[in-house]
Parts: sequence; C-alpha cells; structure tokens
Amino acid sequence: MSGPDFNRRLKDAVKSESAPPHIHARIRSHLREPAPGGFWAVPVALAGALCGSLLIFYSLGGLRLTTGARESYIASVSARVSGLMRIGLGDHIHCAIFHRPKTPPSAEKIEESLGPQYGPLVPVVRRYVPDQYHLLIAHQCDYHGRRFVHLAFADDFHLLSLVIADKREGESFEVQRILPALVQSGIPLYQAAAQRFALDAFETRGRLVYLISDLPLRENSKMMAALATPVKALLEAPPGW
Amino acid sequence: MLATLGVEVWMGRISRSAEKPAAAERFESEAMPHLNDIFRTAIRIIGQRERAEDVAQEVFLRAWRSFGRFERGTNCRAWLFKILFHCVSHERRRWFRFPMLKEAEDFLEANLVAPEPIPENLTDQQILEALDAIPVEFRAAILLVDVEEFAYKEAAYILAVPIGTVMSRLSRGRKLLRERLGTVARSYGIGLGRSGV
Repeated sequence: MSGPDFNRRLKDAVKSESAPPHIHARIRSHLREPAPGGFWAVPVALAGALCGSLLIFYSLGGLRLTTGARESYIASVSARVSGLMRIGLGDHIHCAIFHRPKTPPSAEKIEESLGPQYGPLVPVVRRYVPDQYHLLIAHQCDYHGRRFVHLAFADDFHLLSLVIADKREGESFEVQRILPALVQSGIPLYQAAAQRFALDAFETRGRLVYLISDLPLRENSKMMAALATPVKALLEAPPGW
Repeated sequence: MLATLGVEVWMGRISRSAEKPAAAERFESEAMPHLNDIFRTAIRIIGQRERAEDVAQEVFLRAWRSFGRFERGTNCRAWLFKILFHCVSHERRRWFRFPMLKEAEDFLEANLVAPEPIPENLTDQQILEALDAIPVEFRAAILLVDVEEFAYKEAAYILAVPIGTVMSRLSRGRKLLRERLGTVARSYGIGLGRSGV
C-alpha cells in the first residue's frame, strides 16, 4: 500500500467513529447556562468583590468561626457518612481546612513529627499524588482524643488528605459488614461522599487509612486504588524495614 | 440618583441578556461542528470510549466557559484541540504515569528496524489496533498531522512543543506504525503489498 493510500485508509479508520448523540445533547444543555461576559458578568463580579472583601476581613481576624461553629459544621457533614468514615473526615476538616497551615512544613518538622515510623510515608504518597500538588501537612495530630497521622496536599483548587488512625475495638469495615466499593490487589476499598468531600478508605490489621478530598469521587477512588498497596505494605512492614 | 442607577442596571440586564443567545449561536456554529473530530481523537488518545465521552464533553464545556476570551476569526478547531490535549495531559499527569518521552525514544531507538512496507487488505480495526499500540506522544502527532491535517505549526501549538519535536514524533510514529502493521498483517496471514510508503 502506498503512503497516500495508507494515509487515506488511516483517516477513514479513525473517522469511522462519531460522537454519540447524547454528548451533543449534554453539551447543548450547558449552552443555556451563562457564558462568561454575558448576563451574569456584573453580578458575578460583584459577588467576587464581596468574597474578596470577606476574605480580607477574615484574614484580619474579623470573621472567624468559633470552635462550636466548626464542630457543628463537622458534625453536619459527618452525619452523611458511616461512623467509620467520620473518623477520617473529621480530622481532615478540622486539621486541613479549619487549621490549614500557611506554609508547607520543613523537612526537619516532618522528621520531628512523623519520626522514623511514618516519615517514609511522605515519599511513597508523593509518588502517587499529581505533580501540581504541594505538600501542605505532614504531621501527627490529635482530634477528639485520637491520634492521627496526617499528610495533606493542595494545589490552587483542590485539597486532599491521607489520614491514618489507630483502630479501636470493633472499628473495622469488615466486622461492621460494610461492603467495599472495589478490591484493589486484594485490598477492599470503601467509599463514601458527603457534600463536596469524596472519601475512600481501607483497613490494615491495626489501622484505618483514609483518602479524603474535594476531587470527584471517581478520581479520589483512582488515587486511593493506586496508593492502597504501597501504603499498606509500608504500614505493615516490620519495624526497622 | 438611585432611580437612575436602577434604570441603568435594568437596561444593562436587558442588553446583556441578548448577548447570551448570540454567544450560544456563535459557539454552535464555530465550535460544535468539531465535536466529532475531538471525540474520535480523544478515543484514540485515551483508549476508552466512556472516558473519551467525558473528556470530549469537558473540552466543550471549558471552551464554552472561556468562549468570551476566544478571538473571533482565529482557528477555533485548533483551539479546541489545544483544550483537548490540555485535558488529556492533565488527566494523564494525575492518574497514569506514562513513561516519559525520553524513555519512549530510547525504547524506539533500540527496537526500530528498517521501514516496513505497509500490507494490503488490512481492516479498519487492524489499523486502529496498530495505531493504539504505539506510544501516545507519537500517536498524538499522527492523529493531528496525518488524520486531522493540522500544519506542523498548528500541531506544535496544540501539543505545546516545538515544531521540530512534532516532526520528529511524526517520523518516528509513522515508522513504528508501519512496523506494527507488518506484525498485524503477518499474524493474520495477510501478504505485503508491492511498494512501501
């Protein structure tokens, strides 16, 4: 077959696919929404200005949620997920949202807080988190009387946390007969969503491991599926490995 | 004064409300005709029909959201493809750690053989299978230049790489595709044609 003949064959083969009609319909339904610079441009600009003012006001300390209000918010979001999922979700909101640090942690701080047991988690998790995310939190923290290992990453738009908690008696997805959403390399992964939060979790012998983000649930699950095996291996490795 | 302001705001609303259908109409006539091209390129790059549908939709929604900034009279099709490859690369960066180009190039350097003649009597499916099997960087160059007939300069703009890179990827991609097609043909017992590319 000559070059031009093959090019034609290639074009014909690729162009034999067409977009299904429902995509046309789905896109066209969005064309009814306002385009930038259209009807909503002025109200949106005004709302933006108002938000900006509130942000400045907030950063100056004029509008901070009280501890009670924060707890009330966490409780209202957590109410939508199972008890086991609440453990990780609560720490994510409390620590990465309400107490979001302004600067990333230094290597010394990470080493000091995570120690030799959890320090190796950082490069392992980093490998699977998209490049544009920067490390925001890498520490151990306490929330509601429980100790957590918490790594958080953020970019300009999204925030995600890997939260690890020690199990207490009866705290097991398997024991509580919660059905996994999928099984990755033999590890059952559990899934939930509450408001804008996507949650995926798995358990090891002694720990509950959560990935919580404001990403779409499917993307959160994909990332957890990638993370589950290396994180589990690291958590279950004998000391000194 | 407040009354005047109210009237001005009201008038502004009326005039702006007329802009929306005009923008939608323009989008419909300038962007929507390229949906099939975007969708089939997305399928070939991503490899999954369902994901390609999502990505094609995402491309058009992004395009619609920033349509106000699109300069009338410029190349809408190239702009849409640019958004497509931005969406795809964003997705790939996130979830699939594809080998970097250097690795792919090294692999090819080590494995390329002399250009093979392209067999006759291949089916569309066999051609697509061979295309899908080559590394995505080369596949993208072939799809843009050979299938969608973009100029090298446009392909470079879409892929955000220098023109030289487009040309080299295209050349390597074509060679690899020939090789793959030869393998496919042999596996189906199809004979090779008289002349090569």
